[in-house]
Amino acid sequence: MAPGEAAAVTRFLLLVVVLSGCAVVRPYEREHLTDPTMTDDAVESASMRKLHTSREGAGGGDGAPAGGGCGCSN
Amino acid sequence: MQQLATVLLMLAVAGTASAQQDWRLEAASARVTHFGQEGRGVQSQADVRRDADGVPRGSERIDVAQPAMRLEVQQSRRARHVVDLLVDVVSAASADALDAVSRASLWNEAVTLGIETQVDATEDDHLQLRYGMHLEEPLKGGFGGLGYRRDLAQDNATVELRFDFRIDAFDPLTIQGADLGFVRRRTILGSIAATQLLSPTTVASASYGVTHQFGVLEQTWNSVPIAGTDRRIGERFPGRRTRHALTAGLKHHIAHTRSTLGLHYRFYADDFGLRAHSASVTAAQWLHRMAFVRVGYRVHQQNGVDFWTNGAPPDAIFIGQPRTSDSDLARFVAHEWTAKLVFFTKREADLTEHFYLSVGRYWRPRLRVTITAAGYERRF
Repeated sequence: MAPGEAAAVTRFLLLVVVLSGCAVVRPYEREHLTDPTMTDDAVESASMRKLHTSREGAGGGDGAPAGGGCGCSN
Repeated sequence: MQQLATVLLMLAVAGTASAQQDWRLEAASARVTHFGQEGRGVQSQADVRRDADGVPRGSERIDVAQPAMRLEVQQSRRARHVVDLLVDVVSAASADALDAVSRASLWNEAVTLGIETQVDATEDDHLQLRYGMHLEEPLKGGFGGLGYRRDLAQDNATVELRFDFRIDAFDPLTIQGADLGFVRRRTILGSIAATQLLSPTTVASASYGVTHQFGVLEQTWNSVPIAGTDRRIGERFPGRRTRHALTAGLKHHIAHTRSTLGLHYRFYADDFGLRAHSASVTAAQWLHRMAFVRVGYRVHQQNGVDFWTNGAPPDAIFIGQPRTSDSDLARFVAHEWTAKLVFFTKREADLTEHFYLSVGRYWRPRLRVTITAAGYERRF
């Protein structure tokens, strides 16, 4: 990773830390956060991730199981 | 690192063993997807035709049938297991490639079985143990990993650390038919991810991860044309690759209209010289008390690896420099749209069971994939 990109990653992580102090949502206020439209389907996500990692050279690196575990070179 | 892994494992075992056993199926979901792919790539040896610019491109036509399922099992008050099974049945995966000892070019089946055991060490501390295997002609692999998630500020935020490894083993043939013997590919992954509730209707997420691979990283059947001839040689990769990926996401529910908007961005960089940006937007809308529709659009731009070529020099086979003509590693911009219709079997007070139908299209220069899927989920 180039120095400029490493700096961008650092700034991004700092932004995440700053954002983490911005609000407290009480448990009884979370009705809309549990709406089915807010939830990802894990099986669908895995299927679409495989579509992308087996057709694009930019798979893996984000904790998802790519870059190995398949006969593809991506 | 070994000591940390031992401590996490001991905690996981202790958490599982100390709680009262109460095995119960929590959720089951299944999906069947068909990917119909049409296209042409320089690396393919099937039905090769030359472009107007003289570049030879072979067919990348394949059909993939992909059944998948997930089971979530509660073992005790503190322990649960998630079992994922993903199967790919691929037609003509490498049509017309040399195929002396396997049938991989005709039909290829790949199976991935993964299990994640989650243990609540405390109310806010959660441990994960992952393990599984991947079988595919001519590749066999195993993987494992550990994870730790900490809930913060009354579950308003979470931070998750993951460490995973994979070992793949295969017995490749070169495109000239030489057997190179048994080779391995090893992969180590580490990542940190965070989610944060921003309001009663908005949640943000972010992650950073690094993957390091070493061993034989190239495919065994991709070919590289030799410039000015009809001959080909096998592709060749460096023996190591380090990848970085950064993601950010935002989801917002609009209660008044019962809609949800989602944004996601991913930046990727590796030491093969590949840089990529992927961005997607989704919108979901309830149509009825028992049905909603979700549509999405994604764009992906990548610059290609440093050693991509559509014609290697005639002496390339002797030089041994990295080379590939794989269209997946070239410079391109890809687009994708998807649409999904979800039906619940009961009204909104009891949204525990649903079916869905999904269609989509992925395209980039010289490649198109049509996606159709149907799925089912039941929570108990």
